[in-house]
Amino acid sequence: MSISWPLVIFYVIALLTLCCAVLMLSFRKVIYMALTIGGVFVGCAAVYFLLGADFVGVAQILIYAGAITILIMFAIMLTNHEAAEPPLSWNLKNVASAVGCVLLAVVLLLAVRSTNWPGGGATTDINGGNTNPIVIGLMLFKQYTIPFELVSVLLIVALVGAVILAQDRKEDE
Amino acid sequence: MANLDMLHQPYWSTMGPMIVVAVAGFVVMILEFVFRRGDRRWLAALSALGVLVALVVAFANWGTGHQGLLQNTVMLDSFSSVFSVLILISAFLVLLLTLDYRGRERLPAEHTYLILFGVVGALAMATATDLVTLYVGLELLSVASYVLVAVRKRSIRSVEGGIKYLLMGAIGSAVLLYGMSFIYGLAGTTNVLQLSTQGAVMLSGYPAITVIGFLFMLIGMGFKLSLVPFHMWTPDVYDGAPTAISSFLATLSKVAAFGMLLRLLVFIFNQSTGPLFYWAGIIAAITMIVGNFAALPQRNMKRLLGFSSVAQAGYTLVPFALFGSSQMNQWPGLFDSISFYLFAYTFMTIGAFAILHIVERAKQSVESDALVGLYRQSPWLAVALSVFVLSLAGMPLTAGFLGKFYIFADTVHMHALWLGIVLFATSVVSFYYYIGWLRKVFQPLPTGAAEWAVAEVAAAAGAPVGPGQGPARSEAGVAGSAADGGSGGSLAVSPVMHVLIALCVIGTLALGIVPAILLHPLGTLQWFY
Repeated sequence: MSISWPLVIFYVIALLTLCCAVLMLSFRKVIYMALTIGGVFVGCAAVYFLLGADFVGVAQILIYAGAITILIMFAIMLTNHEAAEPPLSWNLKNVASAVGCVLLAVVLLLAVRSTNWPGGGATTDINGGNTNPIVIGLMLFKQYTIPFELVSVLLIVALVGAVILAQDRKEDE
Repeated sequence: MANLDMLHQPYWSTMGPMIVVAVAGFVVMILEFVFRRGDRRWLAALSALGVLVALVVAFANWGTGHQGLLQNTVMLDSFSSVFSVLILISAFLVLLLTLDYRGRERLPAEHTYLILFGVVGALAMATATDLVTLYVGLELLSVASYVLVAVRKRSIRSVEGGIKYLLMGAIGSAVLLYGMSFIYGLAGTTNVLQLSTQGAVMLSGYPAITVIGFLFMLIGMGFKLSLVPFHMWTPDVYDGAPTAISSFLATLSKVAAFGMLLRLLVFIFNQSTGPLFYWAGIIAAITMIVGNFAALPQRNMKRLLGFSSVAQAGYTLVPFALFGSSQMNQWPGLFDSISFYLFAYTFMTIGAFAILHIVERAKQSVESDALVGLYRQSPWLAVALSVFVLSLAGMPLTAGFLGKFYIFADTVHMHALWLGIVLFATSVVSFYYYIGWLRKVFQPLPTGAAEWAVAEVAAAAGAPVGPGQGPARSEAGVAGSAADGGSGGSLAVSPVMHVLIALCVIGTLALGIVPAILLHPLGTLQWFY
């Protein structure tokens, strides 16, 4: 029996990602949480690479692992880097949420496992002979031009909104 | 080889209103950067003008068949026409309402173009027929709303509302995307029209995943529509936001979200029907019951309108639940019911918020006790508020009654009478709290208390109390107008507000007495293609 290396690598990556996620939830200091969420992002990127989605993987590293994690770090350092959550107490609300989450996870897992997913074999080429980034670019600037343009409006709104909320305004009477 | 196909697409006829509003938004934004001083309310007037132009374009496209753009990522069809017109009308009314902010409670001028960009997102939700475009539109509207809620940074409740809305909205978006990802994974396309041909195949081949995808999409939209049990943010956000923004959230963003829900659920799952839509019925019933009963003990009028809008969303969701138990040829009737109810809801809700805004400014309070003596001070406002409130409750001769009646008739026709009974029973409950307002409106002012309240308000604002002070004519202040209002004179109401309230009253009564003015244009539309 030969060992399927991608599968082994997948399990290792999945384990590391899950560890990071659990650690993130159990840490009480914000700065550690930011570090571990970076680990989760990198783990996801590795899964994307394994799936053959190079472009998404690179984008994930650039945007999430790079930009967003660093941004969170800066936000924490510039504001209140000593912030820590109070230790977890098992009150009714927390127990109920935990039970709800576990139930949701069980339902999802059962549904996903019981489904015989559609999909071609390993030889199916949905890209029409092009590489991933080329196809993504073609889609983005042909079929999805309008959402792409709307995203630029969205960025303007986010930018202006951030400035409005962050600037120290003298309330003009 | 230049690809000129992209240039020769029907951009103007499919997304004309969106283009007009987006251009207006950028123009207003640049003007706002250039003119930093003085009274900048003319920016809101300019925005309202832009919305009117877009409305003209949308009317020009009404009922001109259907047309797709760029492989059907955006469509002009009956749904998009009806919802675009309604979104633009409510945007116009909300902008009129923001014109009235002045003096110490002035909103930052940035809110005008944020509203316009939010409207662009709403129009995208109404016209898009692709999951990606729909989602981007939803996010555009949501991000603009988060900022608009928190725009009064000095008010702790405003910021709290903004944060709550941001967090709940983000959860809703995540759940929605998760549901969409399942559907995309099964069908391999994000185009709603292509998905509509595969709905039945998906449900029979992969029942578990399809149900999960449907439910997650419904729940994700439920956060945006404040359906129970995802409604807890609603009263806090409506209470914290400026009144104009509360009315924006209650009407425009709900209308857009209902339009998007219609596209998502009815287009994708149109042949699979049955068990899926039953879930929508359950959520509708819970929403009607909880929304109305939670509103009963509310003293704060904005929170009450928040719960009321939760209940109204429940009523509107009822026709969605009926898609499962009806034949295809009955669907145009359901579309008519949904559209009619949303039109009625828009007029009465914006009207109610407008009067609330006037009362709030005069009395510096949003407790329902502030309504006491309104009839003495301004019979016109009192009558207008009565019209809106009775319409929200569902009194005959108002639009709200007919809207509910059509929905009730649908439930009878389509063998879902239990939903109709819940609708009827909860409407009766809602009469209790709406009539409570009316009792206060027509109650005479207790004489001793009034003077005392006036003196206090005036002193707080630092203005002299003149017993014989004339009508407040200028920015001289809230205090002056409050003093006038309190001592039995008239509330200071700007002409714009009179126009706005008159428009809403006309809309509510006209739809209630001659529903044909809306039903006839709706009836001529071709819903299917």
